[in-house]
Amino acid sequence: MSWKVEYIVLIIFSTLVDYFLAIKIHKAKAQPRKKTYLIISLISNLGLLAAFKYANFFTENVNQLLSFTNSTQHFPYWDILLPVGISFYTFQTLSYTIDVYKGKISPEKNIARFALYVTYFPQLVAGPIERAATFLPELKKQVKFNYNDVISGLRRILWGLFKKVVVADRVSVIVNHVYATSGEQNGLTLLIATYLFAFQIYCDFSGYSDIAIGSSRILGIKLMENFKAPYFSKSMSEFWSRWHISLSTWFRDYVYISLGGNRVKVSRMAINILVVFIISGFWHGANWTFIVWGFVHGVLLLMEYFLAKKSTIKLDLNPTQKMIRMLLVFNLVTFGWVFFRADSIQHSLFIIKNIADINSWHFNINLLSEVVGGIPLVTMPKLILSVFFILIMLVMEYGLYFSNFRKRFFALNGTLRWSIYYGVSLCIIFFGNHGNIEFIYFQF
Amino acid sequence: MKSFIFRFGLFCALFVLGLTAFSTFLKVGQKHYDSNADLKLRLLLDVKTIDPEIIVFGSSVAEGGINPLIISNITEKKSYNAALSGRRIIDWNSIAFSFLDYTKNNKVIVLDIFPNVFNKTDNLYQPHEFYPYLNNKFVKEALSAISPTYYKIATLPFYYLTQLNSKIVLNSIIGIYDLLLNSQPKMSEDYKGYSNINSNYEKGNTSGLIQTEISQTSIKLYEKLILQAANKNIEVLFVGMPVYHKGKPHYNQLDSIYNWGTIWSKEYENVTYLNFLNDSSIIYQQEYFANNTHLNKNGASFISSKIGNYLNKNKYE
Repeated sequence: MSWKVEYIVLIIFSTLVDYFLAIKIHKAKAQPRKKTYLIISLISNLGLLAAFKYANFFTENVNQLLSFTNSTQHFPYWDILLPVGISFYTFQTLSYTIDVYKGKISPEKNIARFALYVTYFPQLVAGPIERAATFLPELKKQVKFNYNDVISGLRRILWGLFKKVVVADRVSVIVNHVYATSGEQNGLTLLIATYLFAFQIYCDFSGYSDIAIGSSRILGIKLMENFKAPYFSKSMSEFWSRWHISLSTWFRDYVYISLGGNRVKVSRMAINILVVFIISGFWHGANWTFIVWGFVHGVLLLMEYFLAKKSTIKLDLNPTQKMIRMLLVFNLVTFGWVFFRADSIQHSLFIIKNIADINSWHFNINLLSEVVGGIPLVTMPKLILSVFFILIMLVMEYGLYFSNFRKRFFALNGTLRWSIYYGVSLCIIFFGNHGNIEFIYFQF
Repeated sequence: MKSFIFRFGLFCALFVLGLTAFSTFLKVGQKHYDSNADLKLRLLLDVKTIDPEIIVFGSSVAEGGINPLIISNITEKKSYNAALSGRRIIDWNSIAFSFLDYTKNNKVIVLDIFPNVFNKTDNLYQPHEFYPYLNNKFVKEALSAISPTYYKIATLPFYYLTQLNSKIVLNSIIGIYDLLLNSQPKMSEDYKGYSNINSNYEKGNTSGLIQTEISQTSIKLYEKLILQAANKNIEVLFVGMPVYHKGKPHYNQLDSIYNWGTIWSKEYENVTYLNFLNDSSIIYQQEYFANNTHLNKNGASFISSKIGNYLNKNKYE
């Protein structure tokens, strides 16, 4: 993720194009004309993404192909920075134009309000990707100071900061080091780093979403939920209904359903699922690793679909069965994270191969972190503390989404509640990693 | 709205109060923690009772290599070793500038030159020793110039609390305990800041070439120090500290580094240079070294006598 002042032109361009085209679509009587305007919008937004996010990826791959044919011609690389938030705001404006085209919403007349819809600061850089149908009315409503909203927003920000600074950024020290020195690692340390990455990426991204949702709630504007304790999912399909919800529902509504959704032959549906997940992976970044990550998830979903069709297992599971399924899904998802985190396909295969080589496993704390000024950044007590914070996070998330934790929390007296807020704040100060670590999803 | 402002204000006020109390506890404890560095920093940055005619600034090479008691015996002038182990001018400059700001008696500043003297690093050695003095303008200035993290530590209230570790908290508890219950500190001002290295030569890990660096930041800080000393009519004596002859090949650009003493002695009237880098009376004597760059007790006595005699001859006769 990078920024240049000039890149503001891109977001202004995207805003103006979709503002005017949506009005044109709405006013146009003939369907072909509506379609033409929609295509212009698609080309404009996807063109921006292609030029600023994927140009060098395509160039690299074309050059690679040319080198196989012994061609001396090579396309030059562009010296471009990935504009901040481009993947998010282009998808947001695209959904708006498509919804207007489909007649689901009327175009927004007020250009300032539409510009606010595109550039709304809490969710501009990393979502949630809002839909016009729900978000524009939020921007239109009369906002009054609401004590409960402000307190709830602050509480959400606090929890998001805890996840980001105390969990994600702490474990990132280990994950970054182990993945950067994978050649010197063994299967066990690579496995530990991969599990830790599963928590890092969840706490990093959902932490950001919590902060965005909380900031917005203070202003009286509700943003959609982006995560609902995904690591407690009992199936891959449930995982995708709980992970990055704003993106997965975007792909469901604007790609999967457009391709025919479930109302096609099973073989076609399987292809649709794979296509959606490959595009979804590619959305994350211009690297084959993301494409493979998407493909892996597509395959896992299809396997689950076909297994469920043949299975005779009853649907209501007992707690042990639920636990086993949660663990299975978590491990499958973590397997996918190897591709997401590795630098290249070769790198991810190297990591998987090493993890599979159980004979090489041995635990050595010194392998898990770099040494700065003769002092290792990670020691055994620090590792244990990080695992402890992960457990706290998991217990809290389980409580928030699967039990009456909220009710019990608000039943506590004020002193106890304040003590918990102070405790979390002090954890952020004393146990957080306060280095300059960006949110992972800023790069997408 | 009123209810929110009241409750939120009360919440924040109590939080700030708690942080202030804890921060004060840490700072007072760290100040009184009984270590060489903590005592020096307290004396030079806080109580400011150290005002000798000869003072040494620098790193562990000077801290263990220059014995002020010997210099005092020869020159009959008060001297003090304010050098700090593990530090370079980018962080010890705060104590030197603070000293220059208040000194009334000082006549000579002795500075060490050694292989890594001009290296620049963003990761300071024991930065927490400076945390009790973040209000000191020289400390604030020195830390702010190092990196964004240290800038935040020096300027944002309570930010240093995010950098704590168990060692700092433990030091503070011991420091508070010593302050309240232990009237007899283990460290005493009598040792004059000298840290005796009582060990024989250890080869250490010198299998490869150790890269040294001549950072412009360090050079500029030395020049700023020379000029400020000149404004107070204080002489600066650079001492090119000896490197054991077998260790010399392991450092690159040693001559360029040690040449800075010559450059400054030609450029500034208040600078003189005593270079032991190629002094055959010491660099071949293994019994003078604790390792390639650090002198032991015997080496320190030898060098300190030479510095004392030099000062006696050139400054005090």
